[in-house]
Amino acid sequence: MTARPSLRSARRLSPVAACAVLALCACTANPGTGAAGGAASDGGAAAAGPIPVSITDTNCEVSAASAPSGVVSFEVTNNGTVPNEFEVLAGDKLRIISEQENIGPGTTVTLTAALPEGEYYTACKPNMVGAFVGDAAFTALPSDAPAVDESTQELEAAAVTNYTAYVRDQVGTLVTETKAFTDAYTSGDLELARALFPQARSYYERIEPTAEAFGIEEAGDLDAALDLRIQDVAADAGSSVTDPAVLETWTGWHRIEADLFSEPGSPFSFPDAASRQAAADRLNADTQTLYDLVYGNVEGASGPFELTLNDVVNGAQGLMDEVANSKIAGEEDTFSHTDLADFQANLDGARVAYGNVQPIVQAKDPQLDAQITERFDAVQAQLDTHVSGTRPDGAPAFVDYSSVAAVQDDAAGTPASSAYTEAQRALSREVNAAAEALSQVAGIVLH
Amino acid sequence: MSEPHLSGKGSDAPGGRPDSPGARPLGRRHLLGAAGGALLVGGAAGALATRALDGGADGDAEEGVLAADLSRSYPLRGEHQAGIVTPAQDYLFTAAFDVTATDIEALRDLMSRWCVAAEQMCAGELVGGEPLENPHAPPRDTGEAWGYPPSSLTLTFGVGPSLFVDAAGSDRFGLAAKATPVLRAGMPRFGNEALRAESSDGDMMIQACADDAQVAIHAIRALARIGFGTAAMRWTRAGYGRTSSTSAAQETPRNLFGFKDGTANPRAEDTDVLAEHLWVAPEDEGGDWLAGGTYMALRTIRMHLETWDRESLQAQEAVIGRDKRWGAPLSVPAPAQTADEFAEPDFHASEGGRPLIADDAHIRVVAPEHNEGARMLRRGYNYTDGADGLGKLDGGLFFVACMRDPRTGFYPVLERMTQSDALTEYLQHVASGLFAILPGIGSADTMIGQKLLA
Repeated sequence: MTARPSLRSARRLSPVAACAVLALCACTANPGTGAAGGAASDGGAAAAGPIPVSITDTNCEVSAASAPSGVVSFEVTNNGTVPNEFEVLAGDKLRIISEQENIGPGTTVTLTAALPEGEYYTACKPNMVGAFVGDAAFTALPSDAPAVDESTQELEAAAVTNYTAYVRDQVGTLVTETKAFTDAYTSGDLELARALFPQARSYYERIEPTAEAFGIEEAGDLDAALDLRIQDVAADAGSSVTDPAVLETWTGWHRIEADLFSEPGSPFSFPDAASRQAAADRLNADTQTLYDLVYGNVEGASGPFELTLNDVVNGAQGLMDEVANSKIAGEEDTFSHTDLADFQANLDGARVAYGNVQPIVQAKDPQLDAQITERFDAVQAQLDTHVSGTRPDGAPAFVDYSSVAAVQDDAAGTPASSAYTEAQRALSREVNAAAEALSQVAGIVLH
Repeated sequence: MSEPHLSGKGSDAPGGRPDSPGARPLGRRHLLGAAGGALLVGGAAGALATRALDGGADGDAEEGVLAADLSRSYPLRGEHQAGIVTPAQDYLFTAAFDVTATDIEALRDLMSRWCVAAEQMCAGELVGGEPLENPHAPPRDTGEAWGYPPSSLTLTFGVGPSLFVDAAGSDRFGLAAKATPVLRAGMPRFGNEALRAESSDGDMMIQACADDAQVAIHAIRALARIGFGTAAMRWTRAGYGRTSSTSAAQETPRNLFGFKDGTANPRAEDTDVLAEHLWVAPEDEGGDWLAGGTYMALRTIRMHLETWDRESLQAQEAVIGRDKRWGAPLSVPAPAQTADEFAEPDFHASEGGRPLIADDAHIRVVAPEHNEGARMLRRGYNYTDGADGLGKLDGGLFFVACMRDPRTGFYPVLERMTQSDALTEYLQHVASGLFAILPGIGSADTMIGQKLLA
């Protein structure tokens, strides 16, 4: 669903700032060699293993004041009486590069920070509030370690390559599935058309944030032509959803849905076969344009189609946000109530997008990776409870969403929040849990 | 005015760090002064009972002037949790959560993360401390209270019966043996209830109170965000009320019926009363994990405001048992000043054979002398939930009361009220909740509820 051009398209990869990769509690040996640090020594005394840090309620002793740039680890022991935190701060002492909060008295944790050559600060903060305690300068010395190591670079390149291939593959199938759907629709086999509607859309819903981010004249115009809802068309026109002048300008999936799933004579029904044919032709033509764009046959508004690591990460996040914001409320398919098929496609797409950056996350924050996987599974488990059978392509078919959820009906108003069902609440819970975990990926993968 | 031992914030309790770099200047004398009168004897629906009153009794106006100092902060740690005997702030935002995780490790992790965030927010700092250097990561603090003063924020954590044993009778986290009889039984049903399940009960409850509504709401939003995947928000309630009145120059706040109450509060210096009626003691049931805590009963009481507004002044006053202008008991013959509010009600006074304070008058029904001395601490707020869809205002009292044992301190009073109080005709209880308020967070604790969960 597209209401208006997505902000997401503006979230392109920014130039590399002082790059830093966060990773908590991953035990990585520091690069370089040198005398094991004793009491805070000056430059050059890099430890072979993690740099020991001793915290008390009033002090924060880092046993080395420098280390070769690259991944630096600290072994932090709280010898004090209150919970404490250890942080590595940027040279301005205002921004956190890496930190571990809530280190209980008597416990030891390991903190790693990817530190490009430069000046930093280390500090503690008893009870995680107030002024820094024992803040001290820390230098990452010149070394051969690149800011982003080679294996990570390879993983990043593979993520972009693989996700690009996935997007192309989905759009390729979308073209043929859309044709099959419109053939059934224009030939009058409405029962088949109704069965193919959610199936064909799946190929679009899996990659929707990508389609939203690109366009021919401007970002998002293809998505608007393909997937706009009448509510948004009407709102933009300042008119009602049944205004014939508004309906006239409406194209895409939902235009056909409104006809296909409305009673004859409804304001949403087409008057004749020629109107149906025109809508079908337009859908196929716009889908073909999307194909030409992603396969490089035509250039888009921002030049040739090219994905970045940012698109992969935001693709996953965007799909889950899409589900959280509109699918659960049943705002997407208000005539057919096939929202659960879109929901499944969004989830599939998010899993694929995340899967492409998963090796990077696994290496830097295995706990987060496990959490994301677990939460994706939990969303799937909720969806599985609504499977009703099998659709023509063999994938699971879902129940009419309005049979288990309070939804918008025929582009009418949003249900009252008190009307939402337990099924919707359960879906919402799991989707938000997954999206919240997924939101942490960008900070780990992008730099 | 002497300093009450139980000032609400344990700056003198283990773990308080009033002189550490993180603590804001507390204005301790003023803070403690404002803490007085937190214990209401008996429950009077509609009262904002914990508005401190002893300052008024002393006529110490200076205390009142500083009551809304937004730079004031309360540390998270102490013998008792803040937000119980702490002078009532202007705004409340309470949220209940259902735990969606199934293993206790996830629950412990949540309580640890909540502990850190709560400590940071109560100090007026950002969740997560300084912003992250990495601009690609979502900010850890949502930011809407960035740069706002601490605003007396308190966060009070409680656990509900369903955390111990769920509706299906399952000992979900191995905590069933720790459930006290009060928790096992849950809150009994009362007359005149039309409870909505979706805004009642919950596995956990967090009460955020602050003198700035945005600070309170930010706190709940931040904690809910941390909870995603472990605990899901079940319901929330926003409450408001007048700035604390702590001097004779200020009048006691009014409920939405337009009446003052909370007049019969004893002094908070009366630590014996607090120990006897408010705090769970080590020898009590569940004392191993709940000592220093208390029970919190929540009732969302919708007021039929429009019906009430059509009653004559005389009828309104008869129902409450007080005069509307001054708040004086009707046993005071010709009330003419604020001080008359504090006159002791004379329940025996009569005229022409009829009691001046009617038999079913609210203040008579809930008075402690008619309830075997039942006592509780009241900390309610007014609420308004917009229009009810029928052209009327959906509003009333978010009743919050704490007591050592609701079986003696609360249920009998509520029972009596729903049976024989004239006010009941104008009220409907629409939501309910019972939570065990965990004891204060100890100086070395790394999680909320360490004694329960560790």
